[in-house]
Amino acid sequence: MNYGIDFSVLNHRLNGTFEYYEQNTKDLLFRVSLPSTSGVGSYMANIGESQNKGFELTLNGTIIDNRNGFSWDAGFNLYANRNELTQLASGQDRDESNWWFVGHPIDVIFDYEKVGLWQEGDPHLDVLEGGGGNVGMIKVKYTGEYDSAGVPVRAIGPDDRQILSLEPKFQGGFNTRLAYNNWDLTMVGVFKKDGILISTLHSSSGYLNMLSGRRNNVKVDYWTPENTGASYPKPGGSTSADNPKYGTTLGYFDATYLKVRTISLGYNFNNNAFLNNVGVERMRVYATVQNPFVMFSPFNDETGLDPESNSYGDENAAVTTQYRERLLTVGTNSPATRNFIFGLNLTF
Amino acid sequence: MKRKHFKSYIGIALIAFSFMACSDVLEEQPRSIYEPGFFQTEKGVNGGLTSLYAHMRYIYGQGYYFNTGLTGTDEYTYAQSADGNFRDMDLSGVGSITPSSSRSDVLWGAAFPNINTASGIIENAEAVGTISDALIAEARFFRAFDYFLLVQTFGGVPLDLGAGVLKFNTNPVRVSVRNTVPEVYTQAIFPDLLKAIEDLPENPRVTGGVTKNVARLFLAKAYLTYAWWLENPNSIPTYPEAARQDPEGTVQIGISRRLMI
Repeated sequence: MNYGIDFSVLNHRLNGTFEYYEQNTKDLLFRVSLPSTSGVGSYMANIGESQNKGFELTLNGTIIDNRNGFSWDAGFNLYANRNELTQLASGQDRDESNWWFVGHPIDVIFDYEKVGLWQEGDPHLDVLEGGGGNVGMIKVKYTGEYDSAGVPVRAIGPDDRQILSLEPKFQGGFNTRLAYNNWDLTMVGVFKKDGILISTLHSSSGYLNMLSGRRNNVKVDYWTPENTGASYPKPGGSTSADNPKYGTTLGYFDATYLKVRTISLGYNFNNNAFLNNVGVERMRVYATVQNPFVMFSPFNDETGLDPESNSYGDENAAVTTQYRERLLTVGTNSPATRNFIFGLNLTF
Repeated sequence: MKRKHFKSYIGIALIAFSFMACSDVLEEQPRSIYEPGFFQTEKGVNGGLTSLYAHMRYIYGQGYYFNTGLTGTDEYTYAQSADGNFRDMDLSGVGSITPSSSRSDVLWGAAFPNINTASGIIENAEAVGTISDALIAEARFFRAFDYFLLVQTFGGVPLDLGAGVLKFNTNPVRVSVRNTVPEVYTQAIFPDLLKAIEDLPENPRVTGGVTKNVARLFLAKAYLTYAWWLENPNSIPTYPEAARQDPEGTVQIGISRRLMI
C-alpha cells in the first residue's frame, strides 16, 4: 500500500513529494536454526512475515531566483521506516540465537543494557553480581523480582538481556546551491536521529577495549576512584572471557549524526575573450572538500570516528560471532577519508 | 505517479497503488554445496565415512573441550587469567559446571550431527547397494561411540533426531525428547557395537581405521560403564528419571553373545 502526493507551488519554485507506505511481506526466507539434537544445524524456509511502514518527504525549492545575479536552491529529504517482524517459525515469538523477536524490528541487539557503572555504596552489588562484582564495573539493567526487603532475588543472568532496536527515528539528507554571478557554492549532507550504532572497536568483539593491561587498545575514559564519572569500567575489574564483564555494552552508541558530505566552491569563466582565443569554450575552477565535518554525533564527539557504519556484523572484528551478520557496525575498517580536491574543467 | 498542475498555487496529487508478484520458481543447480542427493551416491556415502573420522577433531581437537578433560583431574589446574572456559571444570572449589558455561557444549554440538551422518550412511548404503558391510560397520561404530560419549556426559539423550529412532533426520523439528540411559545403551550403543564387531575387519581399512578389536574394547567399556550406572553406589541422580534396571537383561545377553563371537 502506497499513498503519495506530488505538489508544486509558488510558480513551481517549491515542489516536492510526500509518500506514505505500508508493506506487508509474507513467506520471508529465513534460516531456521535447529537444536543440536536434530543433528542438522539449520534449514531455509519461508517462514517469516514482516511489516514495513514509513514515510518519505522530498522538498526542492528555489529560494532566491536570480535576483541581481544571486540565486539559492535547496533540497531536503526526510524519511522514516518502521520495521516489524510479525511472524517467525511455527508460532514462536522469540528466536534468541538469531536475534529475531516478533513485534520488534529485524535489526535488533539482544544483549544486556548498560545503565552505568557500579559506584561505591550502590546497593545489591554482591547479590546482582553473585559476589563476583567490583565497584567500577559495568552496571546492567536488572529485570528480576525483588523480595519484601527490596533485595533482588537473583543475580543478573541471561534473562536480563534486552531487545534493543537499532532503528533510527528518522533519517534524511539535504543539498543546497548558492550562486552569485560566476561563483557557485554547493553543499550536500545527511543526517540521522537516534538508533544505535555498534562499534566493535569498543565492544568485546574487537579485543580493542579490554581494559586489562597496557597494549594498543582504544583510548577511553575509564573509572578510577578519583574519576567516578567515567563511562568505561575500572581496568582490571570483573571480566568475561578476556574483556570487561558486559563489555559488549560498551560498543553501543547513540547513532545520531549530521554529516556534511561535500562542500564545493567553483568559479565559471564564460565567454572570456582570452580563453576563446586559445580555443577554450568554457572553464571552471573549483575546490571541493569531502567529509569536512560531522556534527551532533555523540560517537564522533567521543571517539573522533566517523559515525557511518563500515562493516557487517561478522566483519572486521576479532570475534565475528558476537553480532548477527545482517547488522551494520563500525569495525576495524578503513574510515571515511577527508579529501580536498582542487579541479579545473576545460570545455573545448 | 501522475502529475497534475493547477493554475493556482496549489497542486494536488494522486495516489498510486503498486502491486508486485512473482510466479516462477527458481530452479537451483547447486555447485558450491552438497545437496542431499549426493549423499545417496557411493561417493557421497564414502565422503560421509571420512567425515565420521574427521569429526573426532571437532571434539578432541577443540581446545576448551580438550582442556576440560584435564583441568578436572589432578594433573592440571586453571591459571592466573583463566576464564570460565578453563576454570569451570576445576575441582578445588572455584569451578562451577553449569549447562551454560561448561564446555560440554562442544560434545553436545558435535555429536548429534555426526550421529545423523552415521545414520544417513547406514540408510543410504543399503539404497546404493555397493557399500560393503564392513564400511557400514564403521558408521555403526561411530554412532555408538558418540552416543556412548553423550550418555556418559549428559545421561539420557534423544535417539529420535526428528525422523524416527536412529533414523537419518529429514524432518526439521525444533523440539526433542530425551530417551533414558538404559534406552540409549540398549537401543543404540550395544546393538551398534555388536553389529560392528560382526562386520568390521580384523585389520584396519586405512591407518587409524576402526577394527573388530576397537569395537570390542568399546563394547567392554560400555558394558562396564552401564553396569556401574545400574548399580549407582553413590546415588548420583540421572536425567531423565529412569529405573536402575536393565530392561531385558541386555548386559547378560550381550555378554553371552559377545562370548560366542
